[in-house]
Amino acid sequence: MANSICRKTEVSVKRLPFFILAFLVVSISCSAQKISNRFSSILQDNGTFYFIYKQGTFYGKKKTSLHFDISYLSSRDSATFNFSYFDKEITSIDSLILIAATKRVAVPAKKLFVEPYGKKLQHRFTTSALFNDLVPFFSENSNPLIILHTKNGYKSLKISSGRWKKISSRTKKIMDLIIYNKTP
Amino acid sequence: MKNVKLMLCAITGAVMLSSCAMVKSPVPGMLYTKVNAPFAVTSNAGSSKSGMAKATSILGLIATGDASIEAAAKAGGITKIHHVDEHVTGILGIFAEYTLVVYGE
Repeated sequence: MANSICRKTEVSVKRLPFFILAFLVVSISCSAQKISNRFSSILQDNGTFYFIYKQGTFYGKKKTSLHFDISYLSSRDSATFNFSYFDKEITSIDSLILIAATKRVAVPAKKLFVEPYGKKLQHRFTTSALFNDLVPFFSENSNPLIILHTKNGYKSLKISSGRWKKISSRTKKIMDLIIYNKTP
Repeated sequence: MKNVKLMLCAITGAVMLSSCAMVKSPVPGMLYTKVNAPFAVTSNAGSSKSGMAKATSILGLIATGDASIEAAAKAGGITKIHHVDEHVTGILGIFAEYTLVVYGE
C-alpha cells in the first residue's frame, strides 16, 4: 500500500514539469488574442494617445519584408502609420497603398532613416492616414496586400490568411475600443 | 536512489535556470514574467508619436537587439521625449524580451 502511494507520488512529481509547461503553453496561446498586451494608452490634456505595437510581418519577393505600428491621438482625425521595410538594396519609397478586398488606402510616405539591419537595410518610413480610413482595412478578413510605390516601380508584400485573421481581429478590437472611448 | 537522482536533477535544473534568460523586472516571476513599468519621465509636454525598441535573450546564452532610448526614439521619429516605458517578458528562463517604448513629439 505504502509502495503504491510512493510510486504514485513519484509519477506525479515526474509529471509536474510537464504540467507546468503545458499550463504555460496553454496560457500563452490563450492570451494570443488578448489585446491588452498589444497596445498602450495614455491620457493627455488634448485627448488619449494610443500606440498599437508592431504588427505581423508582410513578405515580398527576394526575401523583403515589412512590419508596421500605429499611433493615434484621439483628438485628431489622422493616425500615424509607421513602417519598416527590409531589403538588401536601398529603396526610395514614395507612397504606400493598403489593399484589402474592396478597401484601398493610399498615403505618401516620408523617410525617417535607412540603416543596416543584419545583411539587409531597414527603411523606416512614416505615413499619416485618416483613422476612419484605416479601420475598414482591419475589418477585412480576406488576404490584404501592401504596395510600396518606388521610383523604379512598385513592390507588393503579402501575409498569410491565417496570420492576417489574428492580426486583423485584434487590431479591429483595439480600434473599436478607441472609437467607443471617443464617443461621449 | 531514484529520489536522490530526482532531487539532483531538480537542483541542477533550478541552478541552471536561475542564471538563464533572466531580464530585469520591478517584480520577479520565476515561471512567467509579463510586466510593464515606468523607465523615465521628462518635463516636455504631451506626446503624439511613439517608438519601440527591443532586445531578446534565449537561454541566457544568446542575447541580441538594440533596446536603447535612441533606437526607440529614432523608430518613432521623436525628437522631444515625453516619457519612456519598459515592457518585460520572460518564460521559464528560456526566453526573455526587453522592450522600450518612447513617447514624445
